[in-house]
Amino acid sequence: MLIMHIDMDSYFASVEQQADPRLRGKPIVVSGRPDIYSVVAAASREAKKFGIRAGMTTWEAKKLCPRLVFVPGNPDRYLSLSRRFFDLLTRYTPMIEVYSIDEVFMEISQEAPRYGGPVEMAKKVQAEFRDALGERVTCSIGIAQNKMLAKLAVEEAKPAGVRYLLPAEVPALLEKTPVEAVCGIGPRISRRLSSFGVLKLADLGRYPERPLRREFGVYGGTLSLWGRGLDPAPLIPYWQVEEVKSVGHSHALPKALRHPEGARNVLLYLCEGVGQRLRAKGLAARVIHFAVRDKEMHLRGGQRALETPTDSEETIFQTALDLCRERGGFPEESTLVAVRASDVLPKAETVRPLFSSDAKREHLAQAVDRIRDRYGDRSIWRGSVFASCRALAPATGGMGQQREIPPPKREPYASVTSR
Amino acid sequence: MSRGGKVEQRLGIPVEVVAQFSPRARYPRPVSLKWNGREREVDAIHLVHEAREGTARLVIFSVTAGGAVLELCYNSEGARWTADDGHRWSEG
Repeated sequence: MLIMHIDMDSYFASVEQQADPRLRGKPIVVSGRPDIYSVVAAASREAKKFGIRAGMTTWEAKKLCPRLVFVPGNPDRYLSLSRRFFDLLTRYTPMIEVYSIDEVFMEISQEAPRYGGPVEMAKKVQAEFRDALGERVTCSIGIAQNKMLAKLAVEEAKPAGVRYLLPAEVPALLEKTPVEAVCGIGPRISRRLSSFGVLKLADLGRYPERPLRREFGVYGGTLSLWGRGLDPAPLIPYWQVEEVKSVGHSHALPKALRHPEGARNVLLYLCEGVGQRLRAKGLAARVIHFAVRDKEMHLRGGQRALETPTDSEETIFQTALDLCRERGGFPEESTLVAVRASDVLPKAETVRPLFSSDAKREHLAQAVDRIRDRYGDRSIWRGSVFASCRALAPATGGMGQQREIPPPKREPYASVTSR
Repeated sequence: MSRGGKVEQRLGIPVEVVAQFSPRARYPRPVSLKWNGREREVDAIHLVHEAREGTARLVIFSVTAGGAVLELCYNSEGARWTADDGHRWSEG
């Protein structure tokens, strides 16, 4: 099996530099507002030279590079471009796994020979991306026998290169690669492994599997495979994606909304979003999760199972509010609020509302959904959150409205039949 | 354009645009526009992306026209064009 991993280079930042020539050659980051607790979503190549990385807080980034330019995110732009490159890739093969908005895996064992080999195929993909997306929006490509190795190979291809990892090169790569370089081995697992003297992937491969299983359970078996350059994870093509398991929203709060009333309004705003998305998917949720973060960055929250599954924002909001009250209410200064609805099932399998008041609320929610579908998400507001939401809109930079990455709409085998 | 961490609301000012529509092209191609009372040629189209506003399909062109960097938005409902000058949180 041959897997190609395509990873867009500094995706959001490159797209912004492509859209606005004034940003080219400058250290930029795509982030939330720099004056609130927000994080860097993507850093340009120029910003990375200063040590700025995605996930860093905006104030840390500003300290590393005082002339850093902060650019708000534009999810529509990234989704639109992602759709375009997913569409391009479906011409090569239907065996594409959409890993994230800027990363895909492709199974190319049968396709590569048609293009003169995997490296030539990768270069053709890069050339097509340049034509379709612009010179600035580049991708790196790693090719190997499985997804784990292809993901390691792509790191050696950055930026804008191609790395084909031959089977004979795998042992040397495992010898030099630290365990935490594998997606799935976080800092905690890595610390536990280092206490056994396991620092590199090859150390992991040499370590007996049984004690790994004793320490990490089933996951120990996967760790052992990774250490030997094997990956049990199959490629899951986009047309076989798993069903939605939960729907959630969170929001970092701007200074003006960190008081309890502001946090409560933002929670209601987020619950509306969760309810709307559940209804759009025809789902209802059994479990509601709530979390709030205070100014010391301590996160607290909980979850509750409902007797009747719901897609109603009122029920989601009241449940979240109860969970909040049971934990002492909103802190004097909240910096983030989050709500999630999980354990979902099709709405059609739930009981219809018994009382007319519930049925009325359901009809009202559906009417609001129809207005938003027709005129846009921001066309109708709840009075109690209107003032807060006007403040929230610029605070999110659009990133708070991130949606799922839609898979390509093409039929799975359309590309094969059209060749 | 904003400075110092504040951001100006996008205005979406209606503009007159001369555009080429071609049956083979995915999008119309803006050629020139009237901006601040002046007619400007579109010098370069840097990026095109799509968005939705309710049922309306928007095609947004990031362009340079007469030396200014603008976002031109074509709303397929009513074939309306609007422009704004983009925004960022702070200047470098």
